[in-house]
Amino acid sequence: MVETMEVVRLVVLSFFASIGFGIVFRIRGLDLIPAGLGGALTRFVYIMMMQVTDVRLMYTTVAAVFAALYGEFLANATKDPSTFFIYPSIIPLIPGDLFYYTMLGIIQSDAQMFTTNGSQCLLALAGMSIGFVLASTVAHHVRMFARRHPKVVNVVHLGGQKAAKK
Amino acid sequence: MEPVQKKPIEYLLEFIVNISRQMIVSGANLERVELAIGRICDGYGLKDVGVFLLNTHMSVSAAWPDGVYATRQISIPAAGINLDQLKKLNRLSYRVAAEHPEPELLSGMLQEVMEFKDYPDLVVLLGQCLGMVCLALILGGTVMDAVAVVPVTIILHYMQIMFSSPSIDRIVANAFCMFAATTAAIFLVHYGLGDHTGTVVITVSLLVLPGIPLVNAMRNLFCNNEINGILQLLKVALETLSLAIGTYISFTIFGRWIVW
Repeated sequence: MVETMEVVRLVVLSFFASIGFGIVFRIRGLDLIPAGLGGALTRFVYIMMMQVTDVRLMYTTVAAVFAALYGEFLANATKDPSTFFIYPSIIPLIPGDLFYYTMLGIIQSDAQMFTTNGSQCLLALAGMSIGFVLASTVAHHVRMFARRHPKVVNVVHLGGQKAAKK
Repeated sequence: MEPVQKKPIEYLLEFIVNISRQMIVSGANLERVELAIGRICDGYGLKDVGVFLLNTHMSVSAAWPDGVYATRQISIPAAGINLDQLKKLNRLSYRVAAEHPEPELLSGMLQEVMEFKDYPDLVVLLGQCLGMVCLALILGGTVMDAVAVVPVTIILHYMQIMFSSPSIDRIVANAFCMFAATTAAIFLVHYGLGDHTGTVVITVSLLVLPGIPLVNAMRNLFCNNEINGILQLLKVALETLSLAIGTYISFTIFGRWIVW
């Protein structure tokens, strides 16, 4: 089991890492807070899922579903693009190190380095993609439902009016 | 000779291709752009709308309610990520769809949105340093590794600015940037600033690794956007390969000073 303090440390670091990348992605002012929060919460879900299963595809998929739903929820409420919230949130999930070692394996003709890291990298990427597709499908159906039943779900319309006024 | 008067449909399609291009350049995924196009077309009651959209090229054709057809196509330059600009462009698409102003006024409205104030370079650099220091610690680096990441990030930042000219090939630029960053990491750790060269190099490589395009490429492959997905994936693989080449050359030349 991961120690509580270690979880807190990783979540706090992810919060600031996502804020840092948020600045690099040109997010401004108070919008940086949901960006950092997205990164922190996604990291938390990722760590918790790692305690439940060893299968990379599974824990990455669940973390990606969470990041995408978080982005879609905020996007629905504010009528801003979901990428605005998703990009900083997925920073903790990007398997940059695995992808890098895969490429290094090719250059150094190290078959083991290539296959081990390459397969793990593919699983992580597949997990993220499946997670995003699942979440955006759910979000799409919620939007359709909201359009058909405006009295039941009025968030979309209120958000739309706000966005138009701005 | 009198200048040819443009038709409203031509103004509108010109606006649609320009706002779409700016959205893609700012980091929007293609579904988002298609949604924005659909919203604007619905707002003006256009008929027979056809959209062909790649990350490098787009074409839109549609008919005005009175039946006049028009087509516009445009090439799209290399994209970066500017989420604040994307947010403003997205809001403009909502505003245009809701208010449908005269098509002649649309290019002026787009121009207004494009006149934004970017972060000063120093703020972006500070953001990069903050992100990199946190990632170094997340990846298991020591505090000294996190300290070593800062000067390497600064070097990488200014190398990227130096190579940002469109005339310099991105793959060549990546290899040079990563060579410089890896060499700096090797010597910083060798002389006591930092504990593990590998951790410092992997952390700073995350700054130049095309992580978001990699995720978008896979997402496109899964979402029936295969052509875009394959093109993006190929580009990302080549860019990452060039980063690995830069690191490999540096390791080969200065390998004896590496502290693992």
